[in-house]
Amino acid sequence: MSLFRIVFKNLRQRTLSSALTSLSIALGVAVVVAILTVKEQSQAAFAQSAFGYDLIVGAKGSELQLVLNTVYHLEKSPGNIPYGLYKELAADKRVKMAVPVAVGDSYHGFRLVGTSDRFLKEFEVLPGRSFELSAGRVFDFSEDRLDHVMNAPPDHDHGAHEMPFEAVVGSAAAAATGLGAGSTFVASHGIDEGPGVTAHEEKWTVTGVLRPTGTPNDRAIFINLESFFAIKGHPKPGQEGRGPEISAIIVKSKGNLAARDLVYTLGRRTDAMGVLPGAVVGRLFEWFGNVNALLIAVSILVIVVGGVSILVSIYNSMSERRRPIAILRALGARRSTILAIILMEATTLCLIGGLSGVVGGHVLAEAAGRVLRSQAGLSITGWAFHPLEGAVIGSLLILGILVGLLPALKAYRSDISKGLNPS
Amino acid sequence: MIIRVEDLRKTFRAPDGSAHEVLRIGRLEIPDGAQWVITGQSGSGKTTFLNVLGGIVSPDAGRVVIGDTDVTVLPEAKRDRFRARHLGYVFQTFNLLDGFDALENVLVAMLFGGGVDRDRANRLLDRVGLSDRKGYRPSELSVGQQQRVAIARALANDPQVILADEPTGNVDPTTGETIIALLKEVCAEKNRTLILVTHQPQVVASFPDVMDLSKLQN
Repeated sequence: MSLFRIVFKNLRQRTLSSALTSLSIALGVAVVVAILTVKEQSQAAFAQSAFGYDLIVGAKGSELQLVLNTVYHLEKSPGNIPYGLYKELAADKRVKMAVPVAVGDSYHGFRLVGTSDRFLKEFEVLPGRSFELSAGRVFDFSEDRLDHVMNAPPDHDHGAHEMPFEAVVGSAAAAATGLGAGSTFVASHGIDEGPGVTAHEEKWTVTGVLRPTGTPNDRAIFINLESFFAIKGHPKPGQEGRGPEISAIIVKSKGNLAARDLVYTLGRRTDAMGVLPGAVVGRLFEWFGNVNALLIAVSILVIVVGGVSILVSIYNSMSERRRPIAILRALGARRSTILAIILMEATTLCLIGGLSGVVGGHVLAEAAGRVLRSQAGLSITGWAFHPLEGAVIGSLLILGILVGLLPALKAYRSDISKGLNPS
Repeated sequence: MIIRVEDLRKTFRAPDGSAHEVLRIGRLEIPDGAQWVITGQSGSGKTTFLNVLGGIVSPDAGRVVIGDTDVTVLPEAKRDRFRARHLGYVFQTFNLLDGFDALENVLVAMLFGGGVDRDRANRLLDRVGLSDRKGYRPSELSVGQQQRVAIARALANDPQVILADEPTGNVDPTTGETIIALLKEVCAEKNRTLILVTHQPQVVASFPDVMDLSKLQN
């Protein structure tokens, strides 16, 4: 027998109200923990996904859409830009490396990204880490062949006889589709799945599979850019009265100043713009930060309401508990012992709610992480511990003491003889 | 333990504001190991007297010395500790803790007294004839069994004095006889002092030493 046992017994005698009051605390804590867990990791994942290049050039419009489409393989492409701009930037002295990108097709929901082999060979996918292949080789790409396709007459029919149709598959895409080195596949037109989606005639051969990177690239299928423009049914360069076009250009500049200068220069054009993905992601998280702050504020309110309900529950039970409290006092329990028992009851309810909330929050975060993993390829787990979780539990201890104080003082002051003989 | 009472006064205030003196005892000495029954008319202050002896109610004046300790001058916390270690209480309404089984009710008393001793608690329940009811909650026991648990609980910390307030007030006469016999037995076994308050003539008749509180008040 111990004071904890007495506390446990007292709580068990009021199982329903104890469970309900703890549940309200648990709900609030679960949301706080889920937000903390997902926010920290998604911010890190989003931030590192843009590593390796510092500028994205795309069609004028939404900067966020351009970044989401080019870096995270989400959303639709905001439009096209002249292929000639890629040539200009590749030759610009402020540019270290420029890689063209064309998007718009998919295979089983995984997006095809037409690009040059330099994207896979020379960019860092994570700090200090380049793309690595778990099998095979990078696709065959030729700048001359790309120029040839781009400058060919619109009615010229390129085909597999004229150039390779090769692909390198991201690890998640490979695992989900079963594609491996040597496999072949036919792409769908557009990025949607389901009825009404038409398949292209061309057949790509997988030349390699990438090792997992924990970035959205794991969900992409990279193809040699020339093959993208050789697809039958795609607008050919020069068709519709426009020159050859691509979706975006990924640029590694020679430094921060050079990148900003390029943004300024591109800003004067009417057909393209340059965005710094880091800044766009930062703004995105600033917005998310406000939403998170609001959610956390609401959650804290839920926790406080839970705390108040614990206060009300215990306080209301005091009238019916006058007798058992008087019995304990008659048996020799000091006033301070009674005070401690009531405070322990309140803190126990807060802690049970808090710990359940922490578990629930991680489950919630894992569920959100799975969605983000499957939709955006971001490596997010719900089982990462955030340092603030300790502070949340500490705060709940304080909350328990605060809400327990009023009923505890009422119990502290109770008269033994009146409690033993209520009549 | 010898119990000495000197010039004890206790007045309660009635709801209409008038003062009502319930205790006015000049001098009284209860010898060590005595088995006394205290009787008196309803409202004569029997329960109040017992509560003053037990340190549950503070007198307005006078002294209660149990052994060498003047319980009336002890600070409340020390009085609580003294009560837990040296006094055992048996109530008319048993006052067992509802959510706790028989064994746990005895263990709770030990928690505030000499320390929890599960073997001793088991032995006490065996002694009062509840070997097969240790895991039963009060609501699952008969009133006679509940009072037996209360007696075992009163003995939990091996007190020198047992204070019993109308212990047979809620049980039938036959069970009452058994309860009184049990109380007398367990107190005699270790020479404990028993002070029992009752208004039931048959209980009064079973004790050689009877103190009528109505007559004692001066």
